[in-house]
Amino acid sequence: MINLTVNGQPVTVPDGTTVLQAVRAAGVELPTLCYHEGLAPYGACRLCMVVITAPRHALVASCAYPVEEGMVVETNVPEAATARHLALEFLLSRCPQSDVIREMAAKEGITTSRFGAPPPERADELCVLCGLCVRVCREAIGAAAISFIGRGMERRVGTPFDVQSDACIGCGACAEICPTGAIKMEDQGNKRILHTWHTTVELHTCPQCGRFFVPEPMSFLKEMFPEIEDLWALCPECRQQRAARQWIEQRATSPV
Amino acid sequence: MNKLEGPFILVNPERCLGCHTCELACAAAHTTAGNIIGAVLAGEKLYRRNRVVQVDSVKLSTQCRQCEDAPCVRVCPTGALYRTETYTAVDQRLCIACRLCMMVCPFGAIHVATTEVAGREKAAAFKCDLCVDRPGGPACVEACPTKALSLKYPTEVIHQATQAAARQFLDALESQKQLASSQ
Repeated sequence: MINLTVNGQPVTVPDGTTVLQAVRAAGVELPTLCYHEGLAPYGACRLCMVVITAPRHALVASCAYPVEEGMVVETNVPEAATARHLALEFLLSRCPQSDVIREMAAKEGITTSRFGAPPPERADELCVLCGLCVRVCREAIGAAAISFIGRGMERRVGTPFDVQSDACIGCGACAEICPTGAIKMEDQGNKRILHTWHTTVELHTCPQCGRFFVPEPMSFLKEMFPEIEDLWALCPECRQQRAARQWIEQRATSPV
Repeated sequence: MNKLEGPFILVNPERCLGCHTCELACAAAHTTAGNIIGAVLAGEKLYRRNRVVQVDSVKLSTQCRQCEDAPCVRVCPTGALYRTETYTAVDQRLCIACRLCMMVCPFGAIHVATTEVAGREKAAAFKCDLCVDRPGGPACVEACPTKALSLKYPTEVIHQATQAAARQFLDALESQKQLASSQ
């Protein structure tokens, strides 16, 4: 266990914890966009900046900084607040239409940005380039269907050549994890359309109720889990039904 | 009795009325307030982890079977679903809502919904955790008005079955005195 101080309050956390986790354990709120506990720290959004005054003085992204014994963390000193406010102003300038960003900024007292508005063709931009979608697809799912494209002002996320991705398994984790709702996904009949990725994935029809459920590219799971082979396309409700029927039949033949 | 072998919730379809009380109890037990009125007043969303289904004319509740070699735990890419010695559960903070667990659960016992986790809105997987943090044990078992639900330990069930078989044998011996005396 490691002992540190957050805003003058002592906290004890396990070894290997990040400063952000320790700050939240102390009950102190810090805004974040690119942080997800299920993924490796990335440090893209710069919203979690804090100042460390011991064992050395540093302005750090708390999500990617490991705790040390005797560390002193300050979240509200002007140096840290200024860094966070600057990041928020940049974000507000990039995505003025995003409710998430506006609310986050308003909480810190920021309502306008010194850096102007985005060019008209990007007026409704919602992507903050936090990389969560790219990382969840590569790191967690292992599909790596999307990645960052371009540099500087041109940097964005997409599939190779912006065409239908063969690597996408249609899980939708990218759309679910996106903090600003920039990724548009919808189910239309037996098609799951990931508009932002120009990708359409076919959904299997549940043989019992006709609902569309399992994305076709997930069929590899059948080989990984032979126990689900004969109920593969069934939707969860029909699987419950099937399990219940099995239980009733089993009870009839061998009562416990 | 070996309590280390994980328990599971057993339903007796002959006793189940299909009243859905278990679903309400489940949803309420997993809120901060721990009861429905408190959850509604706090504006908390209610999600059940079990579901009452109808098979022909029989109704019964279905929930996670607490598989030992659970496919959901094996497939989870972030380790959000985990297995202890006695149960499987989900750490919603780690969940990325990829739905792989839903796809591989043979019992359809997992669903994904939007909820508040550690102060943030996010989509996450829901499954029965046997109310491990609840002092009174599983809320559904406690709430069932007809006692159709029970928390069973596999070793206990086996013990009861062996006892019943032994009793049956003794009864048979009793009824056929000459068979016993000829031994």
